[in-house]
Amino acid sequence: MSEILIKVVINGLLMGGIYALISLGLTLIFGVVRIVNFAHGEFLMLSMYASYWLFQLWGIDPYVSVLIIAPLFFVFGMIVQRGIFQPILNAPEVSKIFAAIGLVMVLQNLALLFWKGDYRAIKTISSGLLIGPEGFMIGLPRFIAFLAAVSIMLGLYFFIKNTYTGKAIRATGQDQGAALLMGINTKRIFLIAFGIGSSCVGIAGCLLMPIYSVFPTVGAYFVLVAFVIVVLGGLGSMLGAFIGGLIIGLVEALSGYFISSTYKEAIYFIIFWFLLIYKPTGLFGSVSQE
Amino acid sequence: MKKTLVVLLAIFFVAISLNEGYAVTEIKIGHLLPLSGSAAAPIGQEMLAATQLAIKHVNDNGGIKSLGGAKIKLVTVDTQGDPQIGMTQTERLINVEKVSAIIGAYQSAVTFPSTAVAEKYRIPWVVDLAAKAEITERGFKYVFRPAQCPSSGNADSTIEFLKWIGGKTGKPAKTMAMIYENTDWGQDLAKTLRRRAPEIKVKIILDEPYPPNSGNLMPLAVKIKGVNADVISITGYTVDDISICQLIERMRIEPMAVIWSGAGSLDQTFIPSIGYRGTNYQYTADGWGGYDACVKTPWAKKVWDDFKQMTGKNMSELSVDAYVAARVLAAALEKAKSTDPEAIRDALSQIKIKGDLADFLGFPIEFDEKGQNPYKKYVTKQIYEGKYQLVWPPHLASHDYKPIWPVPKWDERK
Repeated sequence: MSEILIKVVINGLLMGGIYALISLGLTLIFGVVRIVNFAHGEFLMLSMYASYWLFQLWGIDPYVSVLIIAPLFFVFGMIVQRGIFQPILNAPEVSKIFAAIGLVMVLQNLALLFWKGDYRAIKTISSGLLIGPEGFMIGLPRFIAFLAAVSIMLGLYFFIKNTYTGKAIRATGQDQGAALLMGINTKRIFLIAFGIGSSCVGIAGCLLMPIYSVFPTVGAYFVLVAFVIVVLGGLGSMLGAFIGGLIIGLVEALSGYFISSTYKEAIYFIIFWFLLIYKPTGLFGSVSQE
Repeated sequence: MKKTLVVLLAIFFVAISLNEGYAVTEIKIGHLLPLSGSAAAPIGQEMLAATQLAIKHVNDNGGIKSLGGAKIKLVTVDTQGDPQIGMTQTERLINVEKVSAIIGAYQSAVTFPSTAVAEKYRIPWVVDLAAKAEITERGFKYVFRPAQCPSSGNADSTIEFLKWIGGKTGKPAKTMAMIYENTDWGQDLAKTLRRRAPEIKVKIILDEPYPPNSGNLMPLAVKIKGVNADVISITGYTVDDISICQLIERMRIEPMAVIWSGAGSLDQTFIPSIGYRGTNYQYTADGWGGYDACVKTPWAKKVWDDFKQMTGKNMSELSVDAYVAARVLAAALEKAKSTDPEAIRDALSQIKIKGDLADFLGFPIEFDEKGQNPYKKYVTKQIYEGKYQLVWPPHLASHDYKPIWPVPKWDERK
């Protein structure tokens, strides 16, 4: 029994790592740019397709394609910010929400148009590989995704803590007006933050490709979890997104085993609901004034 | 004034009666499919080609001979996958286009309410692919489903296959773990399995629904491994079927066999994304027997080749069902010797088709009092080295392939 429990817990934590990776970008964009990017799931879908096609057409392993897709999505994120969200920066919240939802529609339907509704999956060298001691073997791709989530979280943390740009990003996140007065080009910071956020989700897409299939609406399944995680961990908090991801992964795995997979969403939404009642800012949240 | 009116009326009636006297040259058939606006549209287009091909074959072979060689004219409308549009277009087809019968509408959600409209106007409807059980279960008089089973048909075939293979090999399965996606389709199948498992003395020891497109099915796989059932029945769509199949291999779950309910396990990505080792010996239900089993006669080869030439694609369950539905309606018109919907309905209800068309479908075609073809079944196939080998029912089974039961342990596999 305890052996099974350990297995389920490990599996839940690994899945939580993937959720965390997806949520990191979302929370960064929200924390700095103050835009709830509903199209985050579609970014994930696009990066999965990108990784899929790089593998199909040129045989580039998803782990290698990270090197291409991460910068590509940095630029893509900046373009989206510059072209769509920057012009409506001072518009009412509703406009921003609709702009994001419009982006969801466009990206989903473009994917449907170009790549049809088919499910596409790839089998890479690492797909079936297992590591770990006998009896507690775990899939290598999930382990890699987990490690990547941890290292990206740490990397971002140090970047934001120690570099000049990082400090500017934090300042902008804390108080746009004050940051502007201190001579920070906040528009440029928004572009960078959006770029980094998109880059994170781009990496998540590559790491997810050996584990999961891609189809035009794949984003919807992950973005819901990502939103729960981001709010659970505290909007804008990277540590929160990471811990929140692990919690949701664990809850999902444990409830899937002990109760039923059907109810896993119900269960983490109940936890979410209690949290909103007792600690509306989330576990590590600071953004509460708005 | 009155006189003129009387004269005009007289002329009108004479004209109508004269018209009746003329031989029919064209029979209008309504046709509904989703051709745009949703993810279903590509399938709609493929089925459209199959139905058009069927009508072309009938017309090129002299049309409906009992009606003096009258040609069938297909009036196709796009439902966009919307039940509301399906219903209003059905009204229009009946009242404006004056069609004699209708074929359609691929999706259950559209077919179910639209057939109710046709029933109200007493216009016969031949269902192509829609599988919802209630479409025929309502006891409508004007709805006929020749080529498709009700949605729980996969489960019926699973039960019948288990009974057959148990008897044949002397190693019947005694316990079953049942895993299914928790929407209508999965629930329907689960209900049927639950009801019919006692018939073959199989005890269901795990009954687990799961939400489609789950990111993490490992906890579920741990449960499956824990109960150690003889047979695992899995009903799901592509993403989850791939995940579960990978988990079964990775966690070395060792049942006598895994039986999939089609859908995901038939997807073109299923075998390539898992590999031969993981997919070998998996059993799956399929709506159509495939080329080797069903395309044997020159007649069927012509259909296959013409479709390939027309669309560049091989025929599948989708296009076969659409083709068969149209040919069944044509056969009914031939038998009815009339374009009157009532006569066509009566002809459909009495029709018995054997020979080329039935061989192509794999089963004889006739209708029970509910309008369902009781002979149509899902076939069972076993995957081996990337190919789907037909193993059941025996009259369609491949001669070169013997089903392997129970399947080899993971250690014994390459």
